[in-house]
Amino acid sequence: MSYQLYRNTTLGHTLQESLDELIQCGQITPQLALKVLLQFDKAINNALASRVKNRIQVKGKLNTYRFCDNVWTFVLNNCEFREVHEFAKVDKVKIVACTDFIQLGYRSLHTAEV
Amino acid sequence: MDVQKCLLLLESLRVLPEEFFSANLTQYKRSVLRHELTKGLPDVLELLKELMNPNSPADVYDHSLRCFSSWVEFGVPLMEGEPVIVQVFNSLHNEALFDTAVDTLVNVFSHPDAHRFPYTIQKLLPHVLQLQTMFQKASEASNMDICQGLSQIIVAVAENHTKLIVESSICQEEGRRQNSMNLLQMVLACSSLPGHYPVDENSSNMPFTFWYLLQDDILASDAEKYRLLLPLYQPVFFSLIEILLIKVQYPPEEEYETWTAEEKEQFRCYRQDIGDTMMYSFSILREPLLGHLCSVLAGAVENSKITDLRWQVIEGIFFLFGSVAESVDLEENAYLPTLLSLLPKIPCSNVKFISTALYMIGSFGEWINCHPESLTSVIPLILQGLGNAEVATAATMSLKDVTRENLDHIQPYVNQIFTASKNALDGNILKARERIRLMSALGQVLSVLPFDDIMQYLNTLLTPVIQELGQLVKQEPTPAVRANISLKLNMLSWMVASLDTDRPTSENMEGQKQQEVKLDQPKPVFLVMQQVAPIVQELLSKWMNDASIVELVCELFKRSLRTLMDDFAPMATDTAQMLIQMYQTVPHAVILDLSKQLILLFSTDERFFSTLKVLLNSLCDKTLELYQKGLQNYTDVIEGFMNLMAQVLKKTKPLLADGTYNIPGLFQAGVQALALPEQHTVKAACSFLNEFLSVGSELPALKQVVNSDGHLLVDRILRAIGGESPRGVVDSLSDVLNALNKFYVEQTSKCMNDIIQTEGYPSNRVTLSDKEYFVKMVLRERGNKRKHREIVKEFALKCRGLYGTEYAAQISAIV
Repeated sequence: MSYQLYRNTTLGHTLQESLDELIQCGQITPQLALKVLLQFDKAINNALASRVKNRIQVKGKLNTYRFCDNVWTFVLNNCEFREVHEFAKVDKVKIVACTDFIQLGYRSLHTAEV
Repeated sequence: MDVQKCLLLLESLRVLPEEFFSANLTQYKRSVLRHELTKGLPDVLELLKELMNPNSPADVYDHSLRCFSSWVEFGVPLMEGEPVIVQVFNSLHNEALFDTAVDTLVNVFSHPDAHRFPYTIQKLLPHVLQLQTMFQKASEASNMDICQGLSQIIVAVAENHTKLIVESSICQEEGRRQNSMNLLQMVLACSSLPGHYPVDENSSNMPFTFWYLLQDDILASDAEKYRLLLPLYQPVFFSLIEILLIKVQYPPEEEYETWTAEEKEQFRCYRQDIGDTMMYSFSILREPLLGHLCSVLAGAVENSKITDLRWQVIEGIFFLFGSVAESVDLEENAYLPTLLSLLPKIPCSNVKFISTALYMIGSFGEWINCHPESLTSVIPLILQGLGNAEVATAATMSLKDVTRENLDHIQPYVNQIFTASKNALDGNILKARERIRLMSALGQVLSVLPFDDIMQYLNTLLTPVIQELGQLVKQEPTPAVRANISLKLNMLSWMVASLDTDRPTSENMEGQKQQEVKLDQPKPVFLVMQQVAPIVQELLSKWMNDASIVELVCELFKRSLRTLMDDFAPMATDTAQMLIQMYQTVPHAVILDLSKQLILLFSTDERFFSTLKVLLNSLCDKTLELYQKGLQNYTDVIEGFMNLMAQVLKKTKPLLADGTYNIPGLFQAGVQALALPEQHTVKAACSFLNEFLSVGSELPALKQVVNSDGHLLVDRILRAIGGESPRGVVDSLSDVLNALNKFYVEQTSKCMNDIIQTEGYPSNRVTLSDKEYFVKMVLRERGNKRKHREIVKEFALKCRGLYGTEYAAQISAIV
């Protein structure tokens, strides 16, 4: 069972809109649409965990923090993102992170809604 | 033994628990199935125990292992599975079974229920510890497959049972204490595999999570337990630091050059993980860690007098120092002064070494602010870096960090910073990003000076930039000219953003006295913009159609507006006219954004009221023209326009009050924008319409339009809810419907009741009865936003044939 938080991304939303349209046209059933979404969850979790190796440092002023049902939610103000030579600053960032219990020996947090 | 039958049986048994997870069953059937499988578990375990013996054929043993692994995932109480688990450990010594055995043991120790069997884990620990000899032999023979497999098992145990390890290390039983400490030594051995990650070995990264969890559990202990744990674990973490000091080092240069780009990137991420682990270690070891690093550094420097200095060693130490910089107490003055004073004495010209040293200096920016005497040694080092193309990135970043944190103390160094920066800018060594970053740092630095000094420096610095911009503007547009213009605009933009002379400092009281004397003096940024503005006008005449240039121009003005605030006033009229001209030529969202800032800041100033009215009128008229050309081609502009109008209605109503605007046209524009597929545009239109409906109750011109054209809005919303718009905007649409209910309840009620009589409207999946119920509920719950949204969402699902489906329920949870 993979995390579903990536459905709330541009890619996830676009997929859902497409599936909605196909259901409305009667071309697929809601059950098939659900299977597609579950496969999307698996694929994107796997891709982010295994194919993305970048590291970015995030530094900012912690406005709020919340931990519930193994999900951390942070809101940072005046946030800096740093990756080697790249540097970006934003006024406000919300980070939603779920702990990855599945992978061993490699600390990773699934994040979305950054 | 009939091997074939055996294999078939094992395969069937293996698949059973897998099917349990993948089959589509009701809750009730699933629990019945679980019960049956659990009942059969002892028989399965008994069979596997029999088959997993040294006399069994390799195939049978292998299938037995896989079968057991499958049942472990289903859920095998550890104490019941213990005999089989012991056999799995034994099978590690069989090369053909090694990989399967590793996977099985990892599953056993990392299963979420394993923590419920601490006693069994303790009993199994000696079997893990016995792997030490095997691990050592594999490490010496550079057998990375074995090392990786055994590391996986060791880390699986340690990482998933950290609390148990910590508790055991201070328990009464000597045996348990010893086992815990021995396991820690094994994890250290995993971290210290010889060679460079990821080329020579690929397992030393596995324990990083464990080290984090360990320090977390130690720090989370109560005071009494913490007092017992600290002396036990400090030596462990010191051993870890010794290991990290080696593992963080770059390989010899000729070897590093043979690595692929992928390997170099993996190594960079690995070093980042080492940095994070250092940070966690610091929370346990505190200042003595700094002392340790200092003595290692001093030793390395001392040794360099006898043998050649290996830059990798010192670079590694600097990297580790930089990793803990954020955590060091700002009052620390035992070790860091020694470190910073050693810096200039270390001879090395290697690029990576210098870059890391500069990054390290930058990371101590905040600490330096509490120890400003350090600036004497670090500023010259940073400025030296500016003159070296290969380390300029690190130098500019470090300068920016140090100056940002040390504005209270930077004044004595302004001249040398400025001179070195100017030389770097005049030379051809800095890349575009570095030039822009340097301007930002210089803006910060100059902001602490008296007015006359600022202007003197600015004239020297910016005159060539502005002159070059003026010359570029006269040239014919080409990609090279565009790139240069973009660079100049960016440099100016970052300068005006950081040159904030009103920034509060700890010496503000004294500074403020100086400022009060010169209140009638314009701000330096204003004077810069006065020079730049005519050139920008000329620039726009040639580059008005270039979106990237228009963006940069707007960004420049936006930043100067943010820095100057009310002091921007003398430029407001000309800027408004510039925006009108720009938007008339090529409508662009960034123009609307800047217009919004300008309007919100100056709309209450009588001097600019009429100018801003003209600006707003012009933006409205031009945007409404776009609708004739096909609004789907301008969704970003429409989004920006809707956001602008929402803010204007919310905060500057008087601007719209006199009725000279095309209010019906604006209302229609909002209604039509609801039909667009882009969610952000629809949400912006909903914001605008919400404000329109709310303000309409006070402004007759708006109210009249709603009364005459409100039915168009109701129709648009219902059709959108009914399926013409994505579900992601249904909540926003619900809020607009709620606003209609709140402020125009009679009209809305009549309109909705009329419109739903049409068959098949807004969807042929809902009956008249469904629609009537929906309208009744919507009208009843007016004012209750949350309830209103639920009702609308339910109706939207019914219209789309999704009501009651699992698919819709899952999406609703996210949207």
